[in-house]
Formats: sequence, structure tokens, C-alpha cells
Amino acid sequence: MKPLENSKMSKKNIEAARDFAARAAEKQGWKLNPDFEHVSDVVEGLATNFSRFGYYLCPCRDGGIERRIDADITCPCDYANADINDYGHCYCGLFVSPDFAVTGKKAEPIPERRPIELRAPEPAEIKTRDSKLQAEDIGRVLSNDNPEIADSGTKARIATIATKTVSIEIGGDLCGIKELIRHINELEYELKSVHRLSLNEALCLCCISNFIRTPGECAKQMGLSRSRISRILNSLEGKKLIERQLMLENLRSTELNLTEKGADRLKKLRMCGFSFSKLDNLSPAQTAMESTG
Amino acid sequence: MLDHIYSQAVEVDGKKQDKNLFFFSLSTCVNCKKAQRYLEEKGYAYKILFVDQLEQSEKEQLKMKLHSKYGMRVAFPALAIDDNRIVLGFIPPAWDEALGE
Repeated sequence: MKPLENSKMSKKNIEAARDFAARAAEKQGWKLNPDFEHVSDVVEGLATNFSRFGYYLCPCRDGGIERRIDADITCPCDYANADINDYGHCYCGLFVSPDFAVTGKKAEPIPERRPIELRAPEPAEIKTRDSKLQAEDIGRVLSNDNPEIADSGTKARIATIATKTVSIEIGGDLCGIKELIRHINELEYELKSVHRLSLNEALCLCCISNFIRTPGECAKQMGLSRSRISRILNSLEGKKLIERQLMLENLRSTELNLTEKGADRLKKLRMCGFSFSKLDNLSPAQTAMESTG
Repeated sequence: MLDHIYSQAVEVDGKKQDKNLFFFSLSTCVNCKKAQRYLEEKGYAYKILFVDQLEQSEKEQLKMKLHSKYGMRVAFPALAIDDNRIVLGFIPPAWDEALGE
């Protein structure tokens, strides 16, 4: 377990969080809870979450996978207004209505209003621009059987999704498409929560391991724009999974390499039953070289 | 299977030890702190696990496990009593009733 972060939370961060809360209350026409001790606790939690995730995730709720998934529980949360109307204060008791503030009552715990299906969120729907490519890729991932299984749980889920997906006849059937998107989202959620990779990041890692060494080539293989690829590479580099090096023969281009951590992550993905048929079959000679070397 | 997660819990001693209490908490959460104070004031012995301090993959495993075991998605604070029922959210009368106060 990581050491308690609360104790070493700097005064500056806490002041920033308090300032944020005060401004949010003013903007929404609420008041900060007059119970100073309570507010201090919440604000400290907010500051901790800000330093962990970079946004003010509600301290009374669990999240932290990704900002866009936590959007509804980022302070001030989407449910605050309704809770303040019904109970006089928000879920964590940071904000109160002006009427509640003068009563001097303490904020009591209230029921969670966040819909149950969001508490284990599916990732937001994939942008249409990429959905075709991703759907195809998932289909390929699912149809490939990998005998080396480390994580039977993931394997089983992949198998279930595979059978469901195969049985869907799409054509122009919007219901079928919706169903497919849901299964894709489930799988992407699995990738994100267990392996901490987005679908594109995983595919990009695979590209690089298959000797596609320039951002331009990666973009071409994955059917994405250069700027999109560049953002994915930034994220991978931030996670220390890849390294960028200037090419000696052409200083305007960069060469991409997997780090040890990156290679390891990719290996784990494969062991969990994910595979990359199209990318792995790009150049059999090179792939063979990689596996022997 | 989740032993490596459960083993990260901290044991807190108390006079009342007849129930096996496992407290799932968030280190940032005010209601969790209140619930913890409640358990301490009543003198219960319990184990506490700060779920927000787990690795993401461990957290997911734990949430999936709790979901399948108790049939509901976990919210915090959550108190598992004798490994067969769980109380979600800190509402003092509900906790009184669950603990037989």
C-alpha cells in the first residue's frame, strides 16, 4: 500500500483546493458548509485527489481511471444540484444551500445518486471516426485463439464477448451496432483498468514491436492522423513504455523503440489472450527475426 | 485469490471482537472517517483497507469480487460483517441495526 498521502499534502495545495471550492460555490449559488472541520476534511481529500489524478475527483467516491470517465463525479459533481435541492447539501457535504447554511444542521451521509451502472463505468463511446477500424480490430483480436493464457478471467471474458459479437448480424441493424459498441467498450474497459492502456495505445505498442519505427508509419498502419498518433505516442512515452530517438540519417524524423517495460506490458497483454493478427502478419520475416532475436 | 489485496488491510484492535468486521474505506472520504470514528467509539475490533490506495488493477479485482459476492456495486464506506453481509454508506441507524447495537 502506498504511504498515506494526506499527511504530506502541502498547505499550498490545500489552499488551492479551498479556493476552488469557494469559487465553485459562489458560481453555482451555493454556500460552503459552515461546519469548518467538515469542509477542511473534504478540501484535504480534494487536494489529495488533485495531486493524484490532476483533477478534483470527489473525495467520497472511487474513480481515477480516466478524467473523462470521472467527469460526472469531478467536483462540483453532476449530482450536487439535485442533492442540494433534496437534502440541503451535496454528497460529501462540501456545498450546502443558503437555507441549509443558516439552520446550523450538520451534513449527514445521504444515498448515492450516481447511477449504479456508472460506478463501474464503461468507457465513453468511441468516436465514430475510428469506430470502424477499432471494430474490425476487436473482431480480429477476438477471433484469434491464443493458447498461452495467464489470466483465465480475462480469457473467459474475451471468449464471452467473442461469442456474443460473432452472433450479432450487423448489416444496417442499429440495435446490432449498439450491441457491438457495448461489447467493444467492455473490452476497452478491461484493457484500460487491468493493463492501463487504451485500445490505440495497445495497437501502437504492437506496431512498434513489429518494427514500425516511425510515427508516420504507425499512423498509416493504424489509419489515424499524424496529430492523433503523436498524442498517443506522448501518452506512451509518459508511461515510460516507449522511447523516442532522433534518427541519425534524418534529424527531422524520430525513431520509436519499446522500453523494457513496454515489451513486458505487451507480453502480458498477449498472455491474457489479446492478440494483434493484422499487425503481427505485416512482415513474417521480420516477426520471425524478432521472436528468435 | 485476493489474499494479496486483503493482506494490505490494517488491523485495529478493540474490545468487541465477536464479529469479523472488514471495513472498505477511502482515505480521502469524510463519511468514511466518520464511520471509522463510529467503530472506534463503539469499541469494535476491525480490519480497514483503503481502497483508493490500491493499484488500479487490484482495485478492479476487488470491486469485481465484491460485486459478485454481494450482488451489488460497492460504494464507500462499506462494512463487511462476518464475511456474509455488507452495509454500504455510513448511515448510523443502519449500522446500529446491522451490528446489533
